[in-house]
Amino acid sequence: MTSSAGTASHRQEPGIEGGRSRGRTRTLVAFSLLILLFLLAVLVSLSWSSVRLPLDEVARVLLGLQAERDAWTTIILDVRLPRVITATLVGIALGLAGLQMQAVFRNPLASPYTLGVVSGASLGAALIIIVLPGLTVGLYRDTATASAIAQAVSGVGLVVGASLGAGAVLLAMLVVASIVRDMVIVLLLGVVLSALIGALVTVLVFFADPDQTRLFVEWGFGSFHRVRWDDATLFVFAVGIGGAVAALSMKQLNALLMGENYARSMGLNVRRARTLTLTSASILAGAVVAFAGPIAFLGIAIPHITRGIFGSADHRILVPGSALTGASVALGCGLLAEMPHSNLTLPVNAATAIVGGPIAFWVLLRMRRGWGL
Amino acid sequence: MAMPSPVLSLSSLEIGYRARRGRRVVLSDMSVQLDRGEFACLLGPNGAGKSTLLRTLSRVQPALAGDVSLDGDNLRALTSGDLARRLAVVLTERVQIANLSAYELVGLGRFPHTGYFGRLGPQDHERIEWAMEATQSGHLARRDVTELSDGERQRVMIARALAQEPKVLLLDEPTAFLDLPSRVELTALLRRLAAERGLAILMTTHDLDLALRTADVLWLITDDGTLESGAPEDLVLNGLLEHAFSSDEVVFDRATGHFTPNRHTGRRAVVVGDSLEHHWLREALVRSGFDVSRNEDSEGVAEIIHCGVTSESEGRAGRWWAVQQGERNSFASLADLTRWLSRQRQTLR
Repeated sequence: MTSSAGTASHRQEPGIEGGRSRGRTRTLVAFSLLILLFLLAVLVSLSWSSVRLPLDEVARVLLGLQAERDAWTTIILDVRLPRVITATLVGIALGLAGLQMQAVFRNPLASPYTLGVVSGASLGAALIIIVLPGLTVGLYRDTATASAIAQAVSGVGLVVGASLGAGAVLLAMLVVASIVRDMVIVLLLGVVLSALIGALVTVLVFFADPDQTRLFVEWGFGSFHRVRWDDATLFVFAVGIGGAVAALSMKQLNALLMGENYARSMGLNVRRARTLTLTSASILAGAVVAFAGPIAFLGIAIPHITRGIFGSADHRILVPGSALTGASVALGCGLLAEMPHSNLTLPVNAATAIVGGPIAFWVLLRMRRGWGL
Repeated sequence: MAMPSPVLSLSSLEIGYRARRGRRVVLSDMSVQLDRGEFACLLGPNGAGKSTLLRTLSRVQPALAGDVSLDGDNLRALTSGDLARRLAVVLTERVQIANLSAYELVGLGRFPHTGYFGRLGPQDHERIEWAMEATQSGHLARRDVTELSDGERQRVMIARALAQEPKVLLLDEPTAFLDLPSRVELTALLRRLAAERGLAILMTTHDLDLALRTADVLWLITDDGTLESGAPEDLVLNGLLEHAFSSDEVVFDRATGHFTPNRHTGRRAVVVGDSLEHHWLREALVRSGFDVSRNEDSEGVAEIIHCGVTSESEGRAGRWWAVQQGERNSFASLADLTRWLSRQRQTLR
């Protein structure tokens, strides 16, 4: 403890300058390494899969040059590149959505999955996959026309349905969070809501015909294979909107670190910031669920990995950091799911759980020592 | 001489809550002022409305009636940014953010001054450093806020509020979790900040002793639901403090400014003498439940005891003595004396 006589000596303290530059080098190094890691993950993902292509050939194709075999160009551009883009977008979207939700709910366990957003999106997807074909069949009688219509709708329809489902749950949780102050209870309510929606989905699946059930179950495994070049634009657009909101709300997220009351006392319109952030999170999560299925664990894990890498709580670092880390981690999970050198492909959800589960575990253990955000 | 214009001014302010039917008034008819450079303590019993008043002054909840003027403008008319640049708060909630340095925490206080991305410019860094120096927390800059002690964290929280460059600083029981030295230090720091930086500071506290000794002004919530302000000594002399805090259990001693348990024990101790030892002998006797006086006036007294300090010339054993019904006892310490007194009492029963 200092006495008043200590004032003069404190003026000379070198600590203040140190505080200003703390972590600057680490930030620069971490960003550089993450960018390298991401580029490496892209190249490796394009080269390793059921068939291994030489890295230099991959590079040639990417640069628009003639590859040794034409088939390779097709494999890379039409099969692997969409997959790599999907994985990248999924990682970015879940990283940002998790980060935004953890900041708004001020809880290290908040994520699209834990708060029931993914279940909401699942319900939306189930309605599109299972109920919509039934409806069209009922309307048109003619199976061929009906399935053609269902197919046409299911692309955009799936995205819209999943996003609406995600948005509805987030809205409900937002209302709950504004009534219930205790964030632990809010999280538990999210879990309960999740189970409830899960039950609804189970009922839908129970009454669905086997083909649609298989479709839905397959969808539930998660996959980076579904997006074709035509759908990619929409996915990019959705992630772009979410990413833009995240980038524009970095300052607000920082203020929310201190809690709602402090944030308001510094002039933040808390309600508006919350609504905007959670809207963006639901677009991001909804898009992921629609295009790749209910991908588990990445939303909760990526923000924590990013905090660990940068050793920072500053969202001006964490927003771009989570996007970069998320892209790399998702690409890594995609690689794991591809099981290089084998003809096997695992569900992406298994891979993300294997990677993300231990991290969620570690976060919970750390929470004993006070709030872990 | 021109009167300093008050930076915070309440006129006929009424605060409380709007309920479904009508409203619940907590405090009303408050007209007090706070000038630049003044350090004020807001005192009042638990549940009297201290927090409600702070919440109203920081516009977390609306006033029911009347006005608050902040640096010349009506509180209602300010934009949230303007308000944040005039008034900063230190709340009771504990701020624990992993991976955030004390410097970054103080930097968050620049929120109402930075642009859309919250980038800190050279001027912002200057203000952060100034705030940390002013609160003597510069040496903590690199530390994680989760590693700080309660006292250190509180100073950093004050630095964060200062970085907001407010005219008025409101603190809700900033000394609540601190040990005694940190409490005294923090209060002294606030007083110095007010005087040297021209801030108007208002803090709520339960620490009446400290408030009496350090505040320029006391804001006192009275039991008829309004607010009185004045210098601590004025409020002692006019009996307002006594009135606000005395109860059947506790009485306020105007002479010492202390609160003592109100016991009608009918037991009297007579102590004559003015040395330091006599002073603490009296304190020990009061603690043991005696009315202490200098004379033997025994009206309404069931039990009387004489106590004193053994002078060195007497050459007797025992530093302290007590005479009860003609029998003299000596004691090596005040602990022995008070223990003996309580045994006496038990045998009497």
